[in-house]
Formats: sequence, structure tokens, C-alpha cells
Amino acid sequence: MKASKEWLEEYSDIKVSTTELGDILTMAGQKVETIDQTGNDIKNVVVGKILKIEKHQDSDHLLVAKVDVGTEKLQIVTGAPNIKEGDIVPIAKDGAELPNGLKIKTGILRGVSSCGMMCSIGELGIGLEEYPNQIEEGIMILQRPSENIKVIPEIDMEKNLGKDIVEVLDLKEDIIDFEITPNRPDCLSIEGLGRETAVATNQKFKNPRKDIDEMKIPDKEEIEGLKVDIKAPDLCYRYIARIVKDVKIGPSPKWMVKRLKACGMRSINNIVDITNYVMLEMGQPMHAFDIESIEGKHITVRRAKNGEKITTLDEIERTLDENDLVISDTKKAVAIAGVMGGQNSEIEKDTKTVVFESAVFYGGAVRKTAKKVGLRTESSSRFEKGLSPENALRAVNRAVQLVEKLGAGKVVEGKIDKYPTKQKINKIDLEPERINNLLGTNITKQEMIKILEKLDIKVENETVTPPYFRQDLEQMADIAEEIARFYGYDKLDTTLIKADTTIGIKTKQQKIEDKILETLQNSGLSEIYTYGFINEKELDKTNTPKQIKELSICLKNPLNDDYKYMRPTTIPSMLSIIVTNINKKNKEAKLFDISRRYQNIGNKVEQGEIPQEEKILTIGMYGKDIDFYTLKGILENTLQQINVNTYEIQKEKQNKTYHPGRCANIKIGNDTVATLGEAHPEVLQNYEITQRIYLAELNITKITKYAKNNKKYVEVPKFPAVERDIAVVVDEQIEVGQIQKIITKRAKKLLESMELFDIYRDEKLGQNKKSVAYSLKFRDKNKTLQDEEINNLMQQIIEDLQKQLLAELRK
Amino acid sequence: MKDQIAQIQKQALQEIEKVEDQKELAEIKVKYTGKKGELTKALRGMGELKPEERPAIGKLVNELRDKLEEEFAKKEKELQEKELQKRLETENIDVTEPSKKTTLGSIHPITQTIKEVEEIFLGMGYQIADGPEVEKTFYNFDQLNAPEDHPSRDIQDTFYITDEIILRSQTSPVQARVMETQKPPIKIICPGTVYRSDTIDATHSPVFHQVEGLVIDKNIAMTDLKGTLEMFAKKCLGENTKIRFRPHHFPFTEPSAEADVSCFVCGGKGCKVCKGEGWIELLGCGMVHPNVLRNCGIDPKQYSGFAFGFGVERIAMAKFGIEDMRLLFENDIRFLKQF
Repeated sequence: MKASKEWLEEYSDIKVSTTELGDILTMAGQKVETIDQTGNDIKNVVVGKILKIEKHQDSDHLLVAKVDVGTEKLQIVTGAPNIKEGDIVPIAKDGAELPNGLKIKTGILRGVSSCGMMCSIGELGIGLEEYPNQIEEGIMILQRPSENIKVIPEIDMEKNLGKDIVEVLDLKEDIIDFEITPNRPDCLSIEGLGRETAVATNQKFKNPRKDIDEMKIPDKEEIEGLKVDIKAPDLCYRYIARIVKDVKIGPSPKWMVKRLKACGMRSINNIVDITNYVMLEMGQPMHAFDIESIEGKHITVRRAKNGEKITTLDEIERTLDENDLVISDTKKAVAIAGVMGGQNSEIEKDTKTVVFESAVFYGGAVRKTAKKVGLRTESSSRFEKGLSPENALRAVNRAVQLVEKLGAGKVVEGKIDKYPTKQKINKIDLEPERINNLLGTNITKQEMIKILEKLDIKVENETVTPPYFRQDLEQMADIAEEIARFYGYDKLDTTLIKADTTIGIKTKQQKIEDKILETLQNSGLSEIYTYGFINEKELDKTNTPKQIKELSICLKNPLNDDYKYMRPTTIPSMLSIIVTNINKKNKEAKLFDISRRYQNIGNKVEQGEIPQEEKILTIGMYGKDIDFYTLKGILENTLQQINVNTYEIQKEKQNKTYHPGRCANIKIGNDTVATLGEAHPEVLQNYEITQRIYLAELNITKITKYAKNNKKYVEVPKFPAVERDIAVVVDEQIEVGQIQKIITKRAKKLLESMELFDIYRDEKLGQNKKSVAYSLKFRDKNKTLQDEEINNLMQQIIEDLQKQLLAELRK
Repeated sequence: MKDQIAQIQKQALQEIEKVEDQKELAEIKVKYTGKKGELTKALRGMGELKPEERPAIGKLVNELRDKLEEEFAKKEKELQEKELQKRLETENIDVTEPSKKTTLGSIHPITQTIKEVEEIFLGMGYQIADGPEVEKTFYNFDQLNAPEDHPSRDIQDTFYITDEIILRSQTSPVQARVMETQKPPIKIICPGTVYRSDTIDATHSPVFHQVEGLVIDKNIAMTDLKGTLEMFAKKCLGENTKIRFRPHHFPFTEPSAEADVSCFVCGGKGCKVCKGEGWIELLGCGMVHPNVLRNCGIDPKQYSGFAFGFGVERIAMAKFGIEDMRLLFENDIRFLKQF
């Protein structure tokens, strides 16, 4: 909401600078976004008359002019071609300052002294739209008697020679732009801001609308043949109509145009301008229409019919339904209530009788309609916040008062006032102790009452009654805020909570996530952040199976097509970051992401329930010296760090995202907690990646169940260990995991550790054969192992391997 | 005999003097004091002496043995030192050659910032709470005093999935969920991802992160809120940070405030970061609205509380000097490795 300081001054004396005023109001809760001060930056520019123009003796394009600036005559050199002798123009004298920062000084131009500068409209910081007859590239002509040009018809510039241009053209204007919070529709008006200004600066509120407040207008059922009916009292709380006859449509006076412009509104004609002016002044949107356009002269406020159409003032046809409220005559809708008038009832140049409508509609419905038809207007944005029906009467009376003042028509006596839903006035207990407890202050009751009364909030017998324009005040906390605002938020102390001690401690999952972060960082991986959005193509590119794709959650209003779904898998997000890094010619990247995936399992979303969200650790890596086993090592270390020690790594051939020969699941019992592997060549091709990519997904939500909180101390062994090496030759397709299982099973508790130290392939071993060599360490925690015992055990192991894997002992 | 002993002594001392390494010294040691060494020989030769001469000679031999042992020890120490010196000289390295290190990875600036905030509040006795990102409008709006027709639903551009299910536009629904299930005293912060339909540019992202805080107990006052936030600001942004409250409006708090902090780049003098104002808008906060407490089954006559919330990216960007938010989500390894 924009407000000019000049307009605000109508409501109270302002004894501080505009900047200070901005700071004061910001600290009182009406946040100032910007302050626009025009005219302040023009200094020492006066009205001057060109007496004589001569050519510069030393230049083709320069002119030497003699000008009269009232107190003296100056010689000025100029290059502007559009001046004539006798013209009255703005003269920047020696020492003048212009809005563009230019400072004017007496100087010599090609040997001729020049004691100032004539100014163009742009140099004065004035927009061309204000004086459309002026030209941009040339001196501003204030008056040219030879052609009868006068920039302001009512001012004779001849009588103002030497006067400050800022005053003569009334250039000075300070416009403050406020951010108005949605709870304060009353401050979407100069009156409301004027009231806040008066209280915040500790000045008397002048109430220039006292005459309006005291006005008594008789009620009529019918005026000039017009009748009004409200068919939807739940959506229309009040509807008032007043009528003006013998209307003379014409331009508005300069003061009104200026104030409208200051608030960012364009002047249209006197009647439309009055409705806008009253809206800005009092916060009540108004509508004016030609009585002749009302068929049957009967206005009905009703719900629209499903599919009913209306063409609004902006010449666009809108389709409505029964949730929308319309103002209609006996045949058709003439306005969408609270949003915009219809073209069919627009004020025309020949309009003779005008109906001024001032109504209050239910904000929620206006908001919905405005959103639906995509038309958020000055009017709807006020209505949707909930306006006061009491204020509506003031507004319509003010509008017709302005009609009279402007001589724009003759006001017809009386009003049609339908008011089926009376405004509720809240009564709130004044509880100074509770207020002080809530704020942490020691404000006296007297002080509180003083603040409230300044805000027009009545206090009687411990009961607080807010004025009609403060419907936002409903309970003690609201009153506390009013008191705090004007007591001063900056005066609030800083204290620390006095309450029972609470313990700040992380949950198991939070601790596990911390451990994972730490382990991965120490393993050389960098954390990334990805969006949870995804598109269908990405799911296809990663070979995501149909049953997972179907779990995607579709957004109704996505930002764009790439962000249409919430991802059911994190893999595509990781791959797109890998692609970014490859495209940036980064030779190696080891990345991880701890983030969520969203799966609409069992169509929960459609049933109004939230879907399953799981936290997933996603790893993506590429580069030299990185292979499946690097990735496996990182995952194993991670599991060790979070105390998950019992799991199995199984080959996975079905997951189409991964290379079927190079993918594994990590399982705890039957529960798959992680998948790791090399990306499927098809997937890589889809992403146009030419190098191997390693991917892993670890389900953090799941793994948390299996992670143990504490490590248990195991006694450091007292008895010595026995080490034996073994090398066996097996078929290529035998997985070393199978060998390990057999050894472990046989050796039971005696096997302390097993280290694979060599895998060897050679023709001499035979076709499709490999030799696998382990170093085994045995120990009995209760006694020293005897050679014989271990020899027997080794023999049994070898026999097992021979039997089950057709392994041969390599000598 | 005496001469013979004197001769041995002279010769031995000469040889010890000349020795260059420990091996040679050991040989000499054997030669003179070993089982078959010169001194032993000399002792054996005593048999040819008269018995009355023997003690004197024996003493002489033993004295010589002691002396030689002492000389050997001295020489040995000398040689050891010499050899150590030699080793140290040959083992000299160039410490400016490149190191052999395991490369460390990096933690994203957003996580680092969240962790720092968490540390501060954990220290003040807060728990860290979490909730769903795909949320019900009931928790994101209704429970927070923004019923269906409330104009505040317009403030945030929300991503809708159905009329009832959305992507949370704030982390506040976590607060509502906690209040519903937990009895006061409640002291939590909820860090998390939130969604608003903002087009991506240098300062906006449709996905960003918030940390919200909530305290509910008996006798919680607005001055406690100010004190808590000042404490937080000092720990997070520097001990000299000052805090300023301005009145504002949020549907879920009353009274509400926006909190500014003195610019942590220029210290309040005015700079590019604070746009010359000396203050930076940090967060929104206020006393939990009585309607919200009632909605969540807490009696506002008995309990009061405060809530606050701020964006993580803005703090991270200011702290790390990152000027474009898009860098945070682009994930170029050359960017990530800097943190």
C-alpha cells in the first residue's frame, strides 16, 4: 500500500522527516518497504524567461541565451534547438542540484561564460506521461506566449519568474510504500495508516471525516426506481446503494489525480476516480454503474448459476459457478461481487444517473472466486481479508460527498441499505497480569489503557471493545500485541527461560545419520543436495521398474514439467548430478546424498493420508581407481561404524538399474537394506555417459532398526593364535563368498579371521579356473591350540571344499 | 711381567684409539679381554711367577682389565654417537615434497549450517524433531490457525498433490504434530526441507530448508523468546551480534515479530550484504497463538509458548560468502570440495 506523506498529514501533524517516519512506523508494525522522495533532490532551479538568443560565435550548434530569473539576468550557453525568445523555462542556477546527481556551476563554454543550465523534463526527474506535450530531448517549455502554450493552464509563469520550480510545479512528493500484513485490512487505507501514524508519532488523530461519521441518511426501499435484494446473506453481509443524478462525466481535479497517482492508480474520469479515491482513503472498495444498464432496475445479490458467463471490465469473458457471488439485474450478472464490474454496466461518457455501490462480501468466497478466475484486483485483495460492514456506509456517504464537492452531479436523498448480517463486535477481558506475563513486561494497567484508547479501542469496566475497523482483535493475545507494539518491541528485555531442565539429545536415527556423514566424509565422499522432484523420463532412463514408477506422487501445480513428480527412488537425482560433474569435465567425483524418497504405497494419498517417506543414503562415484569393491568397502565401513555387523552380501541380477553381473544386495535376514553396484550399461547409454558409474542405495530408515547403540568389549585374547594359509583351485563361477561360508561353517568359533590375499588365474590351472588363497587365523580363547588340532581342522576344511565346490588344493 | 702388562696396555690403548667402527671394536675387545684374550693369557702366565709376586701382578692385570673395559665403553658410546650422526645425515628428507594423504570428502554447507544450529539448541536443552515433507493441509494450515478461507494461505505458494495433501510450505506442521502428541514442557527445533512454488534464481529455490523452534511451558514470555534468539544469534553469528524485534503478523503466533540481527559482515555500519541498513532480517517469530494451542489440545490459560523459524540457505550463504543460491543445488564437486 502506497501513501503520500501529504495525504497522511491530513490525519495528524507529522513533525519528523519522512525517513524517520518510515523507521517509526516500521517499528510499530507497518513495515516500510521503500520511500520515494521526488522534488527533494532538486535545488536552486527557478523559473526563467528567455529574453534573447544569439548564435555562439565559435560553434555551429551552440546558442547563447540571455534569461531573466527575476532577481537578475543571466547568460547561458545551450545546445538545445527547441527554444525560442520569449519562452519561459526551468533554469538551474549556479550551485543547482538535479535528481540525476548533476551539480551546476558557472563555467566557460568555448570562450563564452555560462551561468547555469536550462533543464529538460528528464533532468528534473519528471515523467513524460505527466506532461505529454513536452519533448524528452529538449528544454521543458513552461510557457510560450507566441503559441499560447502553458504547461499548467491556471498558472501564469510570467508572474513566477525566479520562483523555485519545485514549488511552482508542485514537484515535491514523499511516497511511502508499506507492506500491510493480512490481519490489517484497515491499513489498506490512508485513514488506517493515518491513525497508526498519529499513535506511533504521539500526535492527535484529527479525523477529517467527522462529518461523515455523524451523517444520518434516511433509509429507502426504492430510489429512482432502483430496488435491491440480497439472496445470499451468508456471502453478502451488507449492500448499500446511493444514487447521483445529472452526472457530468469529466476529468478529475489535479489534487485528486495527484493523490491517486501517488498510490499507484491512474485517473479515468471523475466518477470512477471517486470510487478509487474512497477505496484508498477508507479501505472500502466501491463500484459505480449506470442505472440504465440495470435491467428492471432491480439489483439482486445472488450466487452465480453453474456455467454463467460475464465479460468483465477488462474485456475478458469469465465462467462462474454457484460458489461465486454476482451482482445481477433481472436478466444478467452485472458484476462479479468484490472482484470486478461487468462491461455491460460500465460508466460511459453519456451516463446520466450513477449508482454507487458499497457492499461487504464474505472474504473467503471473494478470495476463492478471484483465484479461480485469475483476477486479483485492488478490490478483491481488500475484501478477502474481511472488511467492516460499518465502514461501508461511511464510504458510500463519502463518495457522494465528493461528487458534490467536484460538482460532478446531484446527490439523491436517501440510501438503500440491506444489512442482513450484522458485524459482530468483540468484547475482550482486560487482563493486565496475563498480558504482562505473556510479554514479560511490567506495564501498568493505566499505561495499557492509554495505549488502547489512542487506538480507538474502548476500555470500560475491565472490558475491551475494539472499534468496528479492528475485527482482527479477538482475544487477550491480540490486545497484548497492540500494547506491545506501542510500548515498543525494542523495549522488551532479553530473558532466559525459567523452567524445568530439559535434555537436548539426539535420537537413534539422528545419531546414525551423524555417523554416516562422518564416515563418508572420511572416506573421501562429498555430500550433495538434490531436489525431490523428478519427471517420468528420468525414471525411464534409470530403468525404474513399473511397480516403483507407479508409486510416484504427482503434483497438481508443478513449477515445470521436469518437477512434476515426487521421486519414488533417489537414483535419478544422483545420476543427474553425476552428469553435471562429467559435463563440467571433473575427472572424478565421489558423491553422497542423505535424502528422502516418497512412495505412494496403497494409494494413501488419494485417501487423504500421507505417503511413505524413507531416508535413503545414495552414493554415486566415478573416476580412476574406483570399482565395485571400492564402493563395497565404503558401505562395509559405514555399516561397521553404525554397529551393523551381521549381514550378507548377495548377488543381485534382477535390478535393471544396475549391471546384472556387478550388483549386490546387502541383506539382514530377508530384509534388503542396501543395493550397490555398477550402473547398467543401458542406463549409462540413456544418460550418454561413457564411463563406468558406481551407485549404492542404503535405506537409513530400515537400517536404524538393526543398528546397535553400544559396542561391547570383548576380552583381548590371552592365548596365542595359529595362522595357516590355504590356496584352492575352483571353477571361475564359484563366488569366493561360497568358499568363505564353507570355511566359516566348519571352523566355527575357532576361526578368528580370514583374509583373502590372492586370486590368481593362469592357463596352467586349467580352463575357467582360478586359485583363491586365504590366510586363516585360529584361536581358542580358553587354551593354547595344538598343531594336531589345527591340522585336523584344515584337513576337514579341504575335504569340505573338495566335496561341495570340487575344489582342489593348490600345492 | 710388569713390562709385558705395560706393553699390552699401550698396544690396546693405541688400537682402541684407532678403531673406526663397532665391529672392529668388538674384535679388539675379544682380543684383549675375551676368554682367550691377552689379559687371560697374562693371568695364565702368572703360574711361572713366584707366589709372593702373584698378588701384585694379579692386581695389575685386573686394574688393566677395568681400565680397558672403561675405554671400550667410552669408545663404544663415541662410535654409537658417530654412527647415529651419520645415519641422521644420510636419512635427511625434503619436507616440502608432496604428502601421502587419504583424501577427505566434504559436508554440504547446508548440512554444516543445520548442524551448527542443532548444536546450539541441543546445548540449551532442545530436542530435534522431524516430520513428513508430503503433509496434510490440516497440519500445514488448519492446526496452525489458517483455516481454509484464511488469507494467509495466499502468502505462500504451496505445491498441491490433492486438496488435502501438499508439500509442506514450512516446517511448522512438525510443531503441530509434536504438540498433539507430547505434553508440555516442549522444547524442540525442527530442521527440514520445505517447498514453495518460487522460480529458481540467485536468491530463490522451490526447495529450501528451514529450522523452526518451539517452546511450550508454564510462564513462557516474549522476553524469553527475545533472550533465546539473542543467545542463538551470538553463538551462531558472533558474540557482538545484536537483535531487534519488529512487530509483524503470522497466523500461528500472537504477538508476532520479525527479528533482525546486526549485520554480521559489517557489524552494523552498513555494507552490501545488509544493503546499507546495518540490520539483516533473520527470522519470523512470536508467542504461539492461543488458537493453535487449543487446536493441539493445550490449554492457553495454563501454558504459553514461543515459536520461531528461519531459512537455512540465507544463513549458509551469508556465512560462507556464497552469492548465488543455485550453486548449493548444482553440486559441482569443485564447489563441494571447498567446505
